[in-house]
Amino acid sequence: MRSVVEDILRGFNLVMLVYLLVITFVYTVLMVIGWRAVNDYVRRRPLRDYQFVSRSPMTLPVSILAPAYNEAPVIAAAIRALLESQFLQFEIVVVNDGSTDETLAVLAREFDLVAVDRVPNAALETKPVRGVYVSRIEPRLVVIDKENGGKADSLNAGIRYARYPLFCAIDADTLLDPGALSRLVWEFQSYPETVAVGGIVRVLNGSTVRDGRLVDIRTPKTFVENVQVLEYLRAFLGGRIGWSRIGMLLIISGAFGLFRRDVVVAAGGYDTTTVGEDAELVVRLHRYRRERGEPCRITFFPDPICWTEAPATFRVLTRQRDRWQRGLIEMMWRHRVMFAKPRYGRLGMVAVPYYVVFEMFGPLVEALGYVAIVVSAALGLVPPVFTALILGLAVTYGLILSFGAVLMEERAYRRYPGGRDLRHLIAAAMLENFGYRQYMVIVRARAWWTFFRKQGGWGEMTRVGFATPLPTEEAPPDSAAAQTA
Amino acid sequence: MQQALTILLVVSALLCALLTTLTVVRKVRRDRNEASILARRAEFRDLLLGGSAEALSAGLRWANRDLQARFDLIAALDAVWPQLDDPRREVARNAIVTSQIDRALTTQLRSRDPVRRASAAMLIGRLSVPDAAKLVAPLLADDDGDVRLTAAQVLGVIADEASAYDLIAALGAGHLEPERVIERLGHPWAVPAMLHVLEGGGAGDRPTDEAADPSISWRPIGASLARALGLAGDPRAEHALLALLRSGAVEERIAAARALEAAGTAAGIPALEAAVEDPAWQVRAQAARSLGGLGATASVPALAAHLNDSAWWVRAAVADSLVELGDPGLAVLREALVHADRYARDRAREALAVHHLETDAG
Repeated sequence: MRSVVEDILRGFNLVMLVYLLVITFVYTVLMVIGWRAVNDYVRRRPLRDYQFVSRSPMTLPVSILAPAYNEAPVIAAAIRALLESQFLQFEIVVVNDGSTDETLAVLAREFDLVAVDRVPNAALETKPVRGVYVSRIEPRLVVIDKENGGKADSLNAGIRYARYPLFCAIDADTLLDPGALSRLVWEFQSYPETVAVGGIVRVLNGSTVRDGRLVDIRTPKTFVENVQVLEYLRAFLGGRIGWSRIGMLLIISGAFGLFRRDVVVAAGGYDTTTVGEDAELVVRLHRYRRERGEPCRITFFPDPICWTEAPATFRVLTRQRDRWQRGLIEMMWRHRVMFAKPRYGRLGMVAVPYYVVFEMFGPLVEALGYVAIVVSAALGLVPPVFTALILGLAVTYGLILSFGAVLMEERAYRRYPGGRDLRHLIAAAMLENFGYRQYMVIVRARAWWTFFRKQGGWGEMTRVGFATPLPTEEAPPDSAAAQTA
Repeated sequence: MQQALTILLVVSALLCALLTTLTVVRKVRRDRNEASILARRAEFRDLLLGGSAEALSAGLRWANRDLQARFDLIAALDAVWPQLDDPRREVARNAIVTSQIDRALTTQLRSRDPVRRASAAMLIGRLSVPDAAKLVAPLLADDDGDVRLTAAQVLGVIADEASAYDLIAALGAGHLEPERVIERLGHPWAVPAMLHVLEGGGAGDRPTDEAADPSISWRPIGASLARALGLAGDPRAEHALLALLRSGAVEERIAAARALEAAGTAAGIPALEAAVEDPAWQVRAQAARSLGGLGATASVPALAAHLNDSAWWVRAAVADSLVELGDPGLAVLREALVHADRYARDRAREALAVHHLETDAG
């Protein structure tokens, strides 16, 4: 019996070694591709007149969809901040998803709403709409009041009443850089086959917001927040740029993405039965277009930035990551037909298998691998060098990814210009390897358990408002954004 | 186990030290680079504002060699060129000749690097190099999207007749999305060329004509030109727009109806009133909006007749325009609160409510 256990442990150690070697290789390749893409972007940046895009009457207009559920403390400031977007033609469609607080009353009071009769522009099923309102003081604002149905249902309701050919799905508590829309729209205008574009989401914690505007960008003070700053940088700069460059982007964050409305409607809108509706939509769009032989460019644009509050406590962070991982598992399960199918091109042969092996099952492999290596070392089943090699590889790929993202940030964006901020990021890049990452692996592995128990919904959210970007009870639903790639 | 941990810690510490050093070095270099960019831009601005012809000539040669310096010169030109008086502009033009940057830039338009091609075009446009439009126009058909867009932008900066014809030709050839050309053409300087094309025949036709490449299949561009004329808001376009409003193509009629509002001439009003009867609801809605925008109070009866139009968008446009037309329009809306048609009543009630006006039928 003992020898069987020992054989299993030895075998698993080898699996772990191969897993780590492959994932380190993949991440390194993605980082190199991403680095080249960022360099190319930086060289071309002076050619692109985004200010002209933002003020040209010929620029594609955008409907900004902002689903809101019990957002009374922040909704008015959030809408005012969105209205400050430097973009000539846009509308904001706020969808009140059956809030039980004063969200609708606050909107009605602050923006002088009046009920109107509007014809939906798309045939998407949603929970019943109770009313449509426009503002008497802000013609760009439309408010849809509907029965509670979740975020995806709210987005579908927003799409139904949106007027413009592009829609930007954002969370009601996020802040857009004033020039963010013009940068995303530029992609659609330069490449007409574009179906969706994602932008960077960054952590707001630590920065100062005044009157809905970000006035001072700083890294936060606590480790748990700083490490999320790093995770977001790593996810967007380290992974998505690379995937996007090779035409295999599977995730656009629910907090910030721009979509072609007609294509999303044709594909059936957001799926209301998954917690990862944003990522699921992107995969479905790929699938929908490819199955019809239509061009499908879904890309990530590294400059436009949206800022969001990240969880400030481990408890909330744990719940958030659990939900993200469940969303990923659901997405991959629903679209398992794409796995290793040449019909779906590189997506089916590379991206989907990668996500299944390394993102969906990866946490399970890693979690079991850590246990196996520790037990094996304690029992003297493997030589110390082997143990060091495995743990060293785990640390190495984490460090390469984290520092790579920090370097890319320095190369292209420099949103954290201060020395103090760089120190915070470097410290987080080092320290996260010793405990935090392992904890997150366990959290994500545990998500399999909750996945089988089928939990879902918006989750509790207690907003405190932009003026004081402090801890939230729980950040809004997002995609598998901060996973390592 | 202890040995393994020791190896792990040593390797990790070394890796951390290496990556930290790399990151810090990178940051310091970037800080210096940014400072030098700011200094160079200031230097170019000073040269343009008051430098000698020789110094300016040397600066231009420098900008030709270094890509970043070229973009810095472009930024400086954008900042100070409008402030320069004629003598200073003459100094700059002389410096272009003595530095021979025009020749160097012309050569770079054929560079294999798209960023070099595009930046050369940008500088050619801003420096008003002789025959600038002729030099830049071929880039409208470049393989690289950024270069094509830059070429369109540069032709918009050059803003002469030749640029207008080149942009119109690009519209017909489909090298760029129509909107990207329309937004550059939509200015008074391009109106004569657009009118010439609209009144004189096919797309790409120009008076002096190296015209169009016969291998290119030309697209109908009437609607696009009407949209550009609408952006220009030039009364000279009235006659051509009235002709387009009678076109057989719905797109052209919609664009013409919108452009007539921008042209702002009284002669457009009867034509727009007629367009409110158009078989296409899009044209009816646009014509109704344009009448409101033109402040055509005499058109209130024509609009009122469509408050119960079969299309929701037309009813909405009519109601909004009636609000915009003030008292005569509001009177019609108040009467419509008891209209026999339910849809007309709804539109009237909503338009009045949205604009904070009373909605009591009596």
